Amino acid sequence: MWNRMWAALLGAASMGVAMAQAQVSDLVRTGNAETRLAAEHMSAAPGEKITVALMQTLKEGWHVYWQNPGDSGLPLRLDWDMPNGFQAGPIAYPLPERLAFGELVTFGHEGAPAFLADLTVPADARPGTTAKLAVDANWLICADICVPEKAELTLTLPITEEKGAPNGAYAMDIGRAKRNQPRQPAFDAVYYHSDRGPVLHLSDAPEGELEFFPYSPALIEPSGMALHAQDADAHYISMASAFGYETTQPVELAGVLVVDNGRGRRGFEIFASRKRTPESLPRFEKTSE
Amino acid sequence: MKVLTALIAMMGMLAMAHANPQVGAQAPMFSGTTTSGETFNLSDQAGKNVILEWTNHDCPFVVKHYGAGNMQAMQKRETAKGVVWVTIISSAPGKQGHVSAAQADELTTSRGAKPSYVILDESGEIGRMYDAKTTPHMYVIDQGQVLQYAGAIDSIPSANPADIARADNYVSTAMNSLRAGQPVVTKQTQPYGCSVKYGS
Repeated sequence: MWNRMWAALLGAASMGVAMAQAQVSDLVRTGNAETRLAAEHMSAAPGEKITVALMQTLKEGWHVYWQNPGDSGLPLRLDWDMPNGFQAGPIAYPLPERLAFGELVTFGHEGAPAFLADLTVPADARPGTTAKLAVDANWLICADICVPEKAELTLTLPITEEKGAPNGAYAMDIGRAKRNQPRQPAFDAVYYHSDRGPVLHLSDAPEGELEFFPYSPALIEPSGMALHAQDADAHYISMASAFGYETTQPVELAGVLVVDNGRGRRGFEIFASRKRTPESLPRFEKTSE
Repeated sequence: MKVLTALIAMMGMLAMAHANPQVGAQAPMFSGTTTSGETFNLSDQAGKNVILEWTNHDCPFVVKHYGAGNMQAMQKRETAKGVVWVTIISSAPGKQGHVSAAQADELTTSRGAKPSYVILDESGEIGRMYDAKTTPHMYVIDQGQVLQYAGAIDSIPSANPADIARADNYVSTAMNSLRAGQPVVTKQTQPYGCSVKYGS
């Protein structure tokens, strides 16, 4: 009888250990990446919105793609399999890097990118239960050649009356990824049409090197030269149009403005409305790199 | 003001030096050497519809369409209707997809492909003329040598062959429109695939 009790206790303890790891998936190793899914908190309350992160470590020299991949490539795709009533929001990407391969330019991520998604717990979720949250992740990872990779990742999230505690080191990583997300700008952004393409006008933009990454492919040529100018009031970026812009100039130019002040990169989410082109624009020069 | 106008004009000219081929305008004329050693001139094809297909046999997106038999089926269908199908390989020596004429012909045979011509463009000159960015990247040129479509092969950017059946095939749709004497509705799309492996 004692042996059976010990076996049951050991069994329960090992299940406990497994459940303590449940808010983070197993690590999936593919040819060029290691991927894991982690929840920011140890549990969630009914009706709550929580953040999960697809955290990747990419082989050196390899990259994955931003939501607009640029001249080639494919962005991350997440297909969620969750209990009834759970909703997954769109993927929040890290700030893109401009990756040039000869004359072709793509937008993507190297190193250890974290892709965030907000999941909403249904209001009728029952405290004391656990939710199994599974995702099929598909991505394209490239160096000079490309390989499509995928991973099936599952985590189990306890439902509790109150919001859950932070999930240790994973919460710290996810918090840092959130702080590095593009933020709402405190400055104004509009754009003017020119024959060359759209000209972004930024009033009181932060100091540093500015790079604009459009959300929509086919509006701005990824390999096109961005020309910069400044006057007393504003910073201007003249960008080369792509075929989509030449057909229809959009009412609004949307994307991420990345500012590098030499100490780090920050991103701002830009929705620049089209305004009438002024009579004279300042003299444009290529930005120093 | 004059200096400013001149500067803006100069910037405009710089942009146009790299202008993509314009859909709705004449297709850029080119010559190339086929795998059988002939010279192919696009200008000789007036009166026929022409499809250009940029390829790299090791790119997963090309493998998607060839592995599922999709590209071969398109080639068979279109060439049977008198379309000139030109497969172009712009991989530079040493880069993925670069092949000799003999290797290219072997790939055509082993994959049951049915292009009219395969052109080796290892200098990338033809690819750059067409601003070919990906493999696959597709172009449709009509009998009057006007570029009628440029872009993706179909509407679902992925490496998954299961997506082929449920995607809109932009090339086939454009060809059907041309044959019916109707305007091509979807004239240009963002191509998807691996980057063309131009030389550095």
